[in-house]
Amino acid sequence: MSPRADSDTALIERYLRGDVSAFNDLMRSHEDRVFAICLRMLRDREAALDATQETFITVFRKVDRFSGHSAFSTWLYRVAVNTCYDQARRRGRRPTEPLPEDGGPADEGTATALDSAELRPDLERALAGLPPDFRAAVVLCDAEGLALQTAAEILGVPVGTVKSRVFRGRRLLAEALGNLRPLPDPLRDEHHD
Amino acid sequence: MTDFDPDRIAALAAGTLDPAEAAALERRIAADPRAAAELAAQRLALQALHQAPAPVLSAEERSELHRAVAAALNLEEAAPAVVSARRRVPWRPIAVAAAALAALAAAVPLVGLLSVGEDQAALSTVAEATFTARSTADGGEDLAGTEETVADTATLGAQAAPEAAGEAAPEAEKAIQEFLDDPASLIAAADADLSTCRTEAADLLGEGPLPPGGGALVSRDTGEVVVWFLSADGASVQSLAIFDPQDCSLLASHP
Repeated sequence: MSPRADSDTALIERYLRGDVSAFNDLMRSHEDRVFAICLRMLRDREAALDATQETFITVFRKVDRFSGHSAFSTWLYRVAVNTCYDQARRRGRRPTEPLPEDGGPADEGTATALDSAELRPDLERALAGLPPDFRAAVVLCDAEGLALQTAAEILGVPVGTVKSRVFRGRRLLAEALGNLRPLPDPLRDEHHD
Repeated sequence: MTDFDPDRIAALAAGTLDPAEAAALERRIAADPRAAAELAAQRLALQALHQAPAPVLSAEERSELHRAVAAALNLEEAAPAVVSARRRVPWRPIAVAAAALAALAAAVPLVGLLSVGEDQAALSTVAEATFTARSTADGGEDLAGTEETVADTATLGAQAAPEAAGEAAPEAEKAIQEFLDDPASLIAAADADLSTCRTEAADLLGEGPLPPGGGALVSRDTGEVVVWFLSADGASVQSLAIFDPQDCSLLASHP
């Protein structure tokens, strides 16, 4: 187990024993990454803050049930991703709106809802154009740098499916970012391990 | 392009191949315009993602997040006092509503929660209010923090006792009994590709691959649950476990 995971396990044990400072330490260790995942999934800062808050409340309420089979962070990010999906469903829309038909590069000087994400607008727009499952895989693996296996555990799908989603997601991103001509898809169906 | 494995192109773009293999693959790809375009696209996307600054919380957002989560967990004293004009969760109205729901729940038999209608948020709220009222001494404030979270979770997890399968709430026990009574539908619903909560199920039901048996994502009236089971003869179920797909917490198990 990694030092981070060991540290998390120790903090959880302290928290369950009533050590309130462990709560703050756990929050500080993970809040930026959870927020980053939520922001890139939901593309709206306010919504991402809500999802981050909801994620931590859910996790701390159930932390006594954390089995330790996987890293605490894996469990935490799984809850975060599912919370984002749930929040998007509750709001009656997908996590993000699709790309406009012309798919042209974003005008960085234009004040739009994209600006609320406070990230590179053209990248945010391109990420927003991905199907939600592809976006989740790309965010976890390429933006957050998680291992394919970890992303598979978080998303609850085989590693092969994550690979497929990342591959296709990157290509769609590139097409949106670089106005590339769409490439033929060598993956007719998602492959599985 | 058909000669090239997309996984290897992706790995090459990500720089995870060993240098010799990467060099050889890159030479081959260079001779294939479609593969070269694919590699370029993969690299372009990766470069953009890697160069993007990581989102970070502002100091105020960070403090408010700590405060809100701590409040929901009844840990207000742990969080620094923060003055903010923005309130993420209207705690007090929720506390009143949740207290009312808890009182209502006391009069509602829990049996049947698994089979009632689609209003998941309301049902989950009632169920959680009931559970929380039973398991904590602090009523209103704790319930206040519960309401929104559980309404979003909307699965059986909201109603299950956390400690162990043997103490599962009656409604989860009812689900177990239904699966045992009608194993054919559960066995038919098994999804060979399902990996959700597999690790947790293997630990509970036995190490190694789960077959004979399998796992299924099952829709209940109160939401989806993941069911992993063992079936020695392919017709009956000897043991099974039900998990909340959101976080793989155990809801109930048999035996």
